[in-house]
Amino acid sequence: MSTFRIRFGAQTTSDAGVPVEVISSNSVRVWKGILQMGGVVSADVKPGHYLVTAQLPNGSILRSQQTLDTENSVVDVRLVPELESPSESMGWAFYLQRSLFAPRHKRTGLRAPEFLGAPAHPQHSLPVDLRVWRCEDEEWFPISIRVSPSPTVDVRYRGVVDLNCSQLPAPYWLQCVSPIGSCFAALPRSEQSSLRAALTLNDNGTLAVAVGGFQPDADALLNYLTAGDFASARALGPRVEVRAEKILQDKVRDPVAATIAGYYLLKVGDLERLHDWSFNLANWFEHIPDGAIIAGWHAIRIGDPKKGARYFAIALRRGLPLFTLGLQQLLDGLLVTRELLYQEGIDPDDRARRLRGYVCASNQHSGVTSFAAMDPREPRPLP
Amino acid sequence: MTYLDRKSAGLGPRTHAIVIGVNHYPHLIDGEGELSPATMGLEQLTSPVLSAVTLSEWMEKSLDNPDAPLDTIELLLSPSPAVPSSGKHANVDRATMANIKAAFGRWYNRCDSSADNVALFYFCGHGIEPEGLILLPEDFGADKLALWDSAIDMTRTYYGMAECKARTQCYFIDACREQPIESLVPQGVVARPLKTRISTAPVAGRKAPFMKSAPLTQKSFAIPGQVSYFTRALVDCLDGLGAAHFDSEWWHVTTDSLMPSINRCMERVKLDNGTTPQCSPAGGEQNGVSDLHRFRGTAPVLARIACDPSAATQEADLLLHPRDGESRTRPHRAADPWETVIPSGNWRVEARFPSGGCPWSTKMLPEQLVYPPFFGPVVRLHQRNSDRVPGGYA
Repeated sequence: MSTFRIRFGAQTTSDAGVPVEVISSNSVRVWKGILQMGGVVSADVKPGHYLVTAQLPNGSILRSQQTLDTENSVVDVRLVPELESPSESMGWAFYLQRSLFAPRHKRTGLRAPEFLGAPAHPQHSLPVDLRVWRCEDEEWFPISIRVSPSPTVDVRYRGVVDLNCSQLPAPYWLQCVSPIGSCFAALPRSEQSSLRAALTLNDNGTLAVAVGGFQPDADALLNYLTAGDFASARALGPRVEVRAEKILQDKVRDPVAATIAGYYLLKVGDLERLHDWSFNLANWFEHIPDGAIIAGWHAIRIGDPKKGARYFAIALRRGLPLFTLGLQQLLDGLLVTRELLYQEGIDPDDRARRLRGYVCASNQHSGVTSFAAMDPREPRPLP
Repeated sequence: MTYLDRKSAGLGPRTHAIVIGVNHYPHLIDGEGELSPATMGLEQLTSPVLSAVTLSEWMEKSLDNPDAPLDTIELLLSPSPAVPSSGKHANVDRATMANIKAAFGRWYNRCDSSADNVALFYFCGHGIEPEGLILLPEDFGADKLALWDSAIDMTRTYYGMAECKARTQCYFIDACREQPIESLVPQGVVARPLKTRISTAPVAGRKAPFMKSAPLTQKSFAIPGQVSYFTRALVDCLDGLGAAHFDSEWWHVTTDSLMPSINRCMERVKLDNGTTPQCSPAGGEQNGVSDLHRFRGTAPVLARIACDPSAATQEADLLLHPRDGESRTRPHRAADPWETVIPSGNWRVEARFPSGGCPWSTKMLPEQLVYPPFFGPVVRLHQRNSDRVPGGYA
């Protein structure tokens, strides 16, 4: 056998895993594995001509054609994206987040996100105020709190905003206000890492915000799932699932990855493997409404729709889902358990109608829930 | 009446399809019947019947799944009186609520006969989504007193289908998902699911992608009188663009590979206003992967060729040279990257420039293995003066 030593060929601070395949010259897949973007993965194959390929969460496909001449040879493979992130610190947003409404890249005509404040796009620098809100019991409260580096930040020439949110009460949301509009994005709090936000312009001139920076594999998994790329999610999911199980068994306070793993099992995996931990997720981490949504669907699947309805009602009280996947799951859950909710004295239609207002204003391709609005109580449908 | 029945259901797992296309709505705008009290601005359609027939014919002629060969198709069509169906489609049942319920019942019972069956559900016509996804049969609005009795609650139907034994189920919904103001009635819109959940027993996970032609709150698109964009993409992807892998004899289209491929196809569509229609990015549950179709030979692959700098894309003659066979040339120069479909295999990409007055030199990329789902090389060029490569090749 011979070996490919495969690495990601662009600068990024993210260490997310991406599925990699080695295809033989007669088009048969001979190897598959996971490449950490900050590391190296070895693929042992027979000598021959091969295509090494990887699909990033942003939808782009990396490819490199390579030859292993002799037995026991080792060849280094760099998978270089056709378009590279404007800076290393923006790599997580550039490579992990889908931006279907990105403008045409000026140099190549391909679509690529334009980051506010990126050195490559100084013409797109404009002042942006950052504000933080808390959402609880369907009420929104502006929070006077220090967001690093300051609650109101001019992002010109910075691009990425690091948010050290571990001390914040939750659930909470970031508002980005600029002369071209205002949008909100959920801040799924994890005590183990700070969050990052990057602001981009859509091709219609509206503002979009990407949030990431949680556990890297979970970050990538979330974006594969949101894009409907179940094959890639399936490749990456078990690693996140194992971690999530540990998190909930050991009561380690990093529920964000567990929530994403819960969505993975709900959408792609085997819900039976959730055991009881979806209910733990819902019961222990009240600041994540998504836990109750996952528990609600888990209950329905195991034949307890009344319990499911109760969890959906809990999810509604806790506020908007922090992940876009949860918006549709909650709407569907309210519909499927509608009669049971009425029996509990809850008007699901009224709640669902309000929830739909946010769905209409949301970016359905974003992993983290984000929506356009000047006032969070009045989401504005996207143009 | 069942449109296609190969009567092989007892011989092992089979694929069973229900395909519905509705152009004609007598009780909506411009219909010949009494107008529904809630038309929601919905008019007659011209694409769904053709779209449904195109998918049905593809399945009949081409669908090849050795794990579950095609056995039956329930086809329901509601063409407009001005353009009735002809030939073998002339006598298929119309897509009224009663006919759809009857056909759905037959389809359900067949699918429910084995866990290894494959169930395919396709609808093209009017849809709305005030709360859940609602599909409108031909006779929507006929009963003014119970308006929503003639409307299909597709969201609850999908979840009700969890009780069907067939563990592979695919749902293709080619319909708008807007929320008309008239549907915001105080008690909500209570449409009828075709299958309700009746048991409290646990249900096993299923491979059941729920593919919708539009994201929530948005429209679905078609050129009038032609197959819709979504159905065109669906048929093309089933027919090969959705190939997931090759086993040295067959290419396989799977439940996992279909939706990302449809999305890639849809991203190529340009509407009159310059925008691109979007599919719903994700839907349903997919507990495992199933093959849906296989084929031999080469797989079609979406290709996009661009130059760097982009100004060179406009100036270049772009060519694709297969190892064997005839080269392909971009039909006309344009500023946008060249988007085409080529067979999998070994190809070279060439950007050719005129010899005088043009700042770039002709460039040929090394031969590359083209493999599904996508091939997107960028030809990186340098100004001719800085190249200094004899023979015009860099």
